[in-house]
Amino acid sequence: MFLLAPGLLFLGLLFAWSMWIMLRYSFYSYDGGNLTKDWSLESWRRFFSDRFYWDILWRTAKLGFTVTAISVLIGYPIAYALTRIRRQRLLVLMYVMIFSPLLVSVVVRSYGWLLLLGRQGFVNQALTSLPFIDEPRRLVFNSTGVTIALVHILLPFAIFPMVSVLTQLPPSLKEAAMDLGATRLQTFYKVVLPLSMPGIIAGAQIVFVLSISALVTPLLLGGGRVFVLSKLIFQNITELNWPLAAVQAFVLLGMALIILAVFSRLNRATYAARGSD
Amino acid sequence: MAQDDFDVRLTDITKRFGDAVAVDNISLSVRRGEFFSLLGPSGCGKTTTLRMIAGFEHPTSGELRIRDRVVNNVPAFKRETNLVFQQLALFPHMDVFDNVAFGLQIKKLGKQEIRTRVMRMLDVVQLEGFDRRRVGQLSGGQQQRVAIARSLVNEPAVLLLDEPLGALDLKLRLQMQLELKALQQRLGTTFIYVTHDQSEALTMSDRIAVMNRGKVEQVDAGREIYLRPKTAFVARFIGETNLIRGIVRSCGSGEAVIEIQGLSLRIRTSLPLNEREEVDVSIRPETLQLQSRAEDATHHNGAANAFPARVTGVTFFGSTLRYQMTLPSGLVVDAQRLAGDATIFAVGDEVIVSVRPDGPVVLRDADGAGA
Repeated sequence: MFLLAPGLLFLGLLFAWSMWIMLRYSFYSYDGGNLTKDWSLESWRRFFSDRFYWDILWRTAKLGFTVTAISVLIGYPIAYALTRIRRQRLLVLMYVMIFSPLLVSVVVRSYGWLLLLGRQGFVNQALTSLPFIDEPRRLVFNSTGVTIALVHILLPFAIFPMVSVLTQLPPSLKEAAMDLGATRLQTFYKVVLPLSMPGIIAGAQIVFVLSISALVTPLLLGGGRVFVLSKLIFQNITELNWPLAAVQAFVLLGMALIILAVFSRLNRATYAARGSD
Repeated sequence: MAQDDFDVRLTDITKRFGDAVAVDNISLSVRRGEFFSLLGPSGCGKTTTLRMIAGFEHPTSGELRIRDRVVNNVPAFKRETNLVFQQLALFPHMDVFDNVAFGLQIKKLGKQEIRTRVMRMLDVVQLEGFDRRRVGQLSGGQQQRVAIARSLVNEPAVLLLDEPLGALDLKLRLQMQLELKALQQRLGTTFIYVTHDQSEALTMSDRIAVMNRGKVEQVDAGREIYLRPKTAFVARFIGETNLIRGIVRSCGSGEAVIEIQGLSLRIRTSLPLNEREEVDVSIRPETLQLQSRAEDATHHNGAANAFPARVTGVTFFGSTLRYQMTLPSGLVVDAQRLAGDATIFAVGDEVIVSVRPDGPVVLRDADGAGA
C-alpha cells in the first residue's frame, strides 16, 4: 500500500486537476477567435445540436469498432498459436515480430504505410498484377488506410491479454471436453472460446480506447479526408477554441467510458459461472 | 476365454516419447465389470497406459482393443471410455448441471432426457440440490463427485480414473475410496484406476497390475500380490518386507532349502529352482514369530526355521510393534507383532525367531521371472 501511494497520488491528482481545468474551459466563451472567461453553455449546446458533430462522433465510433473487430479477429489466432509454440527461440522471435510496430516512431511508421499503400505502392502493384484487378485501389487518404495502420500498431495490445488468458487455460480442460465426445471444433466453441473471453474483452477494450483517441495516424494516413473526434479536438485547440475542444474531449472520454462499461458487463455475463476459484 | 469377457485388452503395447520408452511391451486384459488398478511409482508408465486407453496418446506399437474393437488410432472423442482427470478439469464457466450434462449435450440428446439423466447421476453421487451451484463454490470432495458424475453419466464401457483422490486429505480419501468401490459394484461398470498408493489399490481393486519402469511386474488380486509377490520389486513396493539374498541348497516336491548367511531356511515354493542358484527371499515382518530364549529352550532348538537372535530395536505403532532383530551372523530383520501380545520384548532380549515354511516367498531375479 505504501509502495502504491506515490504513484497513485501522482496519477490521481494529475487526472483530477486536468479534468477540473477542462471542465471549466468547456463553459467559457469563444467568440470570433477570442477566448473569454464568460460563463456559457454555448459550446455544449453547439456540439450536441449540430448534426456534423454527431456524424463525426459516429465515424469515430465506427473506426474504433472496425479496428477493434479486426484486431481481435487477427489477434486471437495469433495468440492461440503463440501458446502452442514449444521452442523458446521461435517464441522470442514471434514476440519480437508482434511487438515490433511499437519500436518504430509513429511518423516513420505512417510514412512507411503511405509508401506501401500509395497508388504506386507495393500493395497496389501486387493487387494490379492479379488478373481480376486492373485499376489501383485507393488505400490511403481514406478510412481504409487509417484502419490498416491502426490495426498494425494496436494489434500487440489485443494479442497480449489474450495470450495471458490462453496460457493460463489448463490443457486438461481441452482433453476433458474431447474425452466427453467433443470434436476439436466443439471443444473450441464450448470450452476454449468462452474461457478466453476475459482476454478477448480486455484486448478489445484497450484497442477501442486507443483507436478512438489516436490522432497522428488518422492525420497522416487520412490526408485531411478522415474526420475523427481527436482531429477536431486538435483543430479546435490550434484555433484557440478551447471550450469546444474541452466539450469534445469530454464526449470522447464519455464514449470510451460507456464502451468500457459495456465490455466489462459482457465480461461478467460470460464469466458469471466462474465462481470464486 | 471369449474375447467378449474383456472390456480392454492391450497386446504387446509399447509407447515411446522420442528416445524414452514410457511403456515397454506390456499386455493386459481387463475383465468386464472389474475394478482394475494400475499401481506403481511415478514414472512407471501407468498414466501413459491410461492415457493410451483414453485416446490421448497413441501406442507406438502393439494392439489396443476396447470391447473387441481395435482403437489404436481412434481419437478420444470417439471412444467408449471416459476419464476422471487428476486435476479434475471441471469446466469453470459452467455450473454443476452443465458440467455433468456436457457429454450428453454433445450427443444431442433431448432436453428432457438430459435433465433426467443428469439429475439421476447427481443423486447417485450424493449431490442432489447442487445442480445450479458454481464449480468454484464446491469443496474438494464435492468437485470430485462432479468429475465422476460428469464421466459416468455418459455410461462409458470403461471408466478411467487418473489418481483422482490425490488432492484430498487422508480422511476424505478413505471415505471416497469406499464410495467409489460401492459405486462401481452398484453400476457394474469397468473401472481402471491409476494410483501410486498401494493401500488405495488394495482397498478397491479386484485385480492390480503392478508396474515398474514401463513394464508390468505382476497382475493379480490384491491378496495374491501381497502374499505371493512374483518379483522383488512387487514384494518391496506392496507392504513391508525383509528382502534377503540366498542360495538354493536343495529343492523338490514343492519345497526348497535356501541358505542365508549360514542359516538354512525351509520354504514352500512352486518355482522350478536349480541347486546353487541365487535367489531373493521375501519375509513379511508379520510372519516372523518371536519366543523368549530362556522359556522352553529345548522345545525350539531343534525346530525348523528357528534361529537365535537379539532384539536391537523396538518401535511402537499403536496396534502393532516393530522389532528390529540382529542374528549372530549380523543379519538384521524386522518383525511385526501385535501390541497386545502376552510377551513384549525389550532391546537386548535374547529371542528365538522362527517362521513357518509357507511364510517366506522365493523370488527369482526380475529378468528370469518371466514365467
